[in-house]
Amino acid sequence: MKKDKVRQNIFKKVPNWCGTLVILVLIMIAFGIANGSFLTVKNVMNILRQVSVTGIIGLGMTMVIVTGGIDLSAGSVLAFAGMLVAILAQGGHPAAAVLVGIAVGTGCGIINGTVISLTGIPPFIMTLGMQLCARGAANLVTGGYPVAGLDDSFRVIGGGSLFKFLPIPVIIYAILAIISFFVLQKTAFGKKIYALGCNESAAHLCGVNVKKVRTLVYTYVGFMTGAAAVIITSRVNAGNASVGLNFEFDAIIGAVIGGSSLAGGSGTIIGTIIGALIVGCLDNGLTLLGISAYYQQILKGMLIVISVIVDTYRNKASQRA
Amino acid sequence: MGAQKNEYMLEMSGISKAFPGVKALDNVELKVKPGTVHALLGENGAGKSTLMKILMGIYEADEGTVTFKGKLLRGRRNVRETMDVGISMIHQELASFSQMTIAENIYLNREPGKGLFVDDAQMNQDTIELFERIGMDINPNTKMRDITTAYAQMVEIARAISLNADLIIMDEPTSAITDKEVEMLFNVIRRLRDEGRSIIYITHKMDEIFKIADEITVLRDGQFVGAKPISELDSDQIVSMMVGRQLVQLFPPNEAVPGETVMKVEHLSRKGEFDDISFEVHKGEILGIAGMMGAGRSEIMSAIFGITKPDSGTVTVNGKELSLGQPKEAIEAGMAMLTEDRKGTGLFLGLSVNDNIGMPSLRDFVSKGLLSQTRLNKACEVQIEALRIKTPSGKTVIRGLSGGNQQKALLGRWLYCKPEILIIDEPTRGIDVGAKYEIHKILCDLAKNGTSVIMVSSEMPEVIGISNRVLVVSQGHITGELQREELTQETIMKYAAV
Repeated sequence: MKKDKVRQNIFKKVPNWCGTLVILVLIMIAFGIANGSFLTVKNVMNILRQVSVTGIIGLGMTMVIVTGGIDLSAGSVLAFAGMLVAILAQGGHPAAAVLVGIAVGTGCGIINGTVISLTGIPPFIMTLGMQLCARGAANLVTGGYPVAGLDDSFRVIGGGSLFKFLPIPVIIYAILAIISFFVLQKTAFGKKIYALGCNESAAHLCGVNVKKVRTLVYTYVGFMTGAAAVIITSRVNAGNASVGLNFEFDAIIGAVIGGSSLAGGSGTIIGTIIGALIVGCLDNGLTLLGISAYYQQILKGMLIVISVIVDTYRNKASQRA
Repeated sequence: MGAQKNEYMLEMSGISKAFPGVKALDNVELKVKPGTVHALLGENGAGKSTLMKILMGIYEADEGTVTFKGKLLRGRRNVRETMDVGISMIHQELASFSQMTIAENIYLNREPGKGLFVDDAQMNQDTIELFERIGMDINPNTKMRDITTAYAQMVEIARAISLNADLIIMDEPTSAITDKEVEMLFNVIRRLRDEGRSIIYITHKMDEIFKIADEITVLRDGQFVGAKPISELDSDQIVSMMVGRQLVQLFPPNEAVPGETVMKVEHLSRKGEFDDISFEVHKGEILGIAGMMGAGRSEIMSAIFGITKPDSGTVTVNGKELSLGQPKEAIEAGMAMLTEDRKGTGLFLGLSVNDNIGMPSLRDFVSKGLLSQTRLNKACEVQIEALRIKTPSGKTVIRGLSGGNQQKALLGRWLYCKPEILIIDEPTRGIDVGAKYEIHKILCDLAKNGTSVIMVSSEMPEVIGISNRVLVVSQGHITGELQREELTQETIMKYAAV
């Protein structure tokens, strides 16, 4: 069993996310054939603009999932942060709105991470609790009423475009994606995130400050959620306490389709971006084909189950080696 | 032909099995007589587990036949069918339901009862009788989580008997139990044998083979090497059958010359684990820590390294007192530790060999905030070369390596940090003979070059073979200190059994 490992190397050279990329391309070709307007520049930019919000959350979510955790609070935290953003933007303080939005998201992330690290409760429970708390807080801000009519300069963030075709949210998404790629794949901190997800005790014995790493990944996803809150509030030109429902699931689905294992220890930023694009193309393509949103929901539900089944088989196959 | 049918209970012949790119077994045979203990030997990767998986029906052989009690078994069958014909396997890692009682575990899925209801009284009575047959007295209502590994094995054996198994496969049953419990296990095995049942016994421990086995079969690199009655063999012959060459020495010479004191442990105590532990470690020595399993050896080491926090006492390295309870601080003070549980607390199974080696030293490869994977790979490949770790490349995921090579990678991880003090717990557990020698050699070389090695080991020959000095631990106390000249199995046992 020792000698013939060489043969596998041919496959090892190809990164895991290539398979996902092929699927994305196939989906795009299929929709392109089915509907002529799918592959136009305008529509592709539209897809990217739509994907950017949950995509940004997905960047942080990937890191959390690689540690073996999960963040179910992202959608609600986005709503809570978005309400405060809207109030400040409505009052004519766009810069403060941006800062406060990011700060609130980051703060919720710090709370998630600190409580999980210090008490050792499952991330599932902590972030589920935060999901309810943040949604409640979002409603409390105005007693449930939406905040509309925001400052014009603020609306550029979500609605503006560079050179008339490149949406600003997409540019923000790209910048944050590059940063996240470097953090996870090119720094010692990133390596420690994988170590934590693979084997927490071993990481501890290697001198990795496990609590610090864990707190930081939740802080990171919190930061991303705050940034996403700013973008979506600006795009819809309103603060609404019910915004962001199930956004955390879109982020999780993107990461899992992109090859992150919910068992921890694996996942890449590039994979997650491709995963998010697949979800975005399906949403957009099916809408163009006139398929009801309810069916889309059913499809998304099936998609997450199938991608986890694939992940499970992949794990089994690699463990047999 | 007719006579042969009675001679063997199990005949596996001409068994071949290939996995993509690998020939795991090539024309292997295994013949087991009724009422015998048959040891199946071979280094890791020799094909023992593949052969057993074929016997159990987990894999289907490409070629060859399996005949059990005169009946040809189908190649494609599931484990259930195998158990029904009378073959049971007791796995190395026991799978039990820790929240349930012993009786419930034994009769799971086939509880005696009336209609929908389980007859608990009947089930408990049956369990008691079952244990009486193997000469043991046990409370069937005890929860599985409250019993030791050795008793959990007994439960598995009892389940096998209750399934009317005539052939029981035991995969390294003594790897995690105490010497006393080994005796208990052997008594049970002898009883089973005397009832006419056969045992296939997989082990790495030479002394056990001579104590318990009647016959042996040896595999090497997926090939059948030979089968003989144990009475015709001595331990050198068995080792040379396993490794295919004569091992001149079982242990490398320890040429270390111990120097001044580098570490002082004083009055270290942790409630329920150990009490008032004091000792010194010298530069360039191998300090063996001997004692029975469960004596508190590993617990002491965990506390010294900061994995657990002791209640009282101090650890001083080079005159500087450590604030205990943080592995990070121990590492900074020049310590390194390999735990006994390689998979549980050592390896990152999903990461590459290089990442496994480099993890505690990441800081060395960072410049301007970014980690240079190229430099990390280069540094780790030096370790792979130096320790002769067999792997296709440093980028290979470590999961696929053999136990010996994984252990070497962990050694490489800590040797890169150039520790002054290396704590290593059960350095060669579950590792085959050839790799054992290499690991002992590495430890001896380290000591010779001035590193202090603290080696916890349950394998007496290893402790005697390479230690400069030995501390014996019994029930949480250090009960004896022995110099190299005084080291014999008897003197160690005398203190260990205090």
